[in-house]
Amino acid sequence: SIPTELLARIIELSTPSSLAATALVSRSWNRAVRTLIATLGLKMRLKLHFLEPERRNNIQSSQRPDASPSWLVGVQNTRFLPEFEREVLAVPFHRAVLMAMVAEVTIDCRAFTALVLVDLSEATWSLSEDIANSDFFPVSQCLEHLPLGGYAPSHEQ
Amino acid sequence: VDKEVADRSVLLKNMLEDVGESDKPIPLPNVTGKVLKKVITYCEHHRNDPLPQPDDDLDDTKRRSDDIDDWDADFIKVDNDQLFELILAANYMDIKPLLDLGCKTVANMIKGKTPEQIREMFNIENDFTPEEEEQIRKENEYVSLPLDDSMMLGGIACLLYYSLCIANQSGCQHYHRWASES
Repeated sequence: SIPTELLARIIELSTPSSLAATALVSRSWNRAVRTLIATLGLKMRLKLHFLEPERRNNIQSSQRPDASPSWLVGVQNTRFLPEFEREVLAVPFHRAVLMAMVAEVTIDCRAFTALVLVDLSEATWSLSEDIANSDFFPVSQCLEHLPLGGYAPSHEQ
Repeated sequence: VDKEVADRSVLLKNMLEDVGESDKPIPLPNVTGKVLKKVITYCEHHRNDPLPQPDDDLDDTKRRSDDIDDWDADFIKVDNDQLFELILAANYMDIKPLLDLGCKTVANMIKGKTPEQIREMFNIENDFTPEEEEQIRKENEYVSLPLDDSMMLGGIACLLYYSLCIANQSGCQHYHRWASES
């Protein structure tokens, strides 16, 4: 039989696409997943860097471009990101968070802000052609649940 | 086998250093002759490669499973039993690049597969009780499957979009400043 640490290594290399499936293969594979999750927990730092254009005044320029929120998301047993979920997620968004768990994401604020000025379908397309061209992943479902009430999406804004 | 080839194995390298110049055979009780022959083939091909460094594992680029070169990909085309024997031999003989190759190969094989498909692929017995399996499924309900790269892209994009909305709702200074400037 394969030692747990080797199985964990294999599963890590296949993560995130296989984490849930491998936990259900057998007891030894499940042990490996649990071993791995403890390690992954240390890596689950989702950094959101807010890139800002040039500052217009001194107050703004005193802030570093990368001095933005950096959320450390937690893990308890095999339930991913409960703190993050409780604070932020009201939609079935755990998949997105899990998938982004090892990501360090840079957000262009200007481009990002512009997304709310267009309608949802266009925003979706702007984020990724892949999203616009397929029905995979409940992206549309997520977008439907977004708190967009105050945005009044419009091209004229 | 040339010493240069044998030195690809940290186990053999250390043993050779311990015993010094000697004609005595070195026992490898955990490796069959067939697998050892395969291991030697690998070591001979990679005899001039730089030796792995201790901090290689800290490099995130080493965590990829899609960077197998053509020769290695062809070399590792073996049946599943031999694949796991090679992994075990590489682990025992401490040949990290071969171990990585084996692990990456298995990782690539299980990506996107269901538990049933993985069991069938590697002839693994499901030793969970139905209650245990149900419990694990509940625990893992936060980890839907299968996910692929395009889904990952979608997920990240969706997360970013959602973050923007949250930033607006919570009065995020960054958001409001740039929203007003735009």
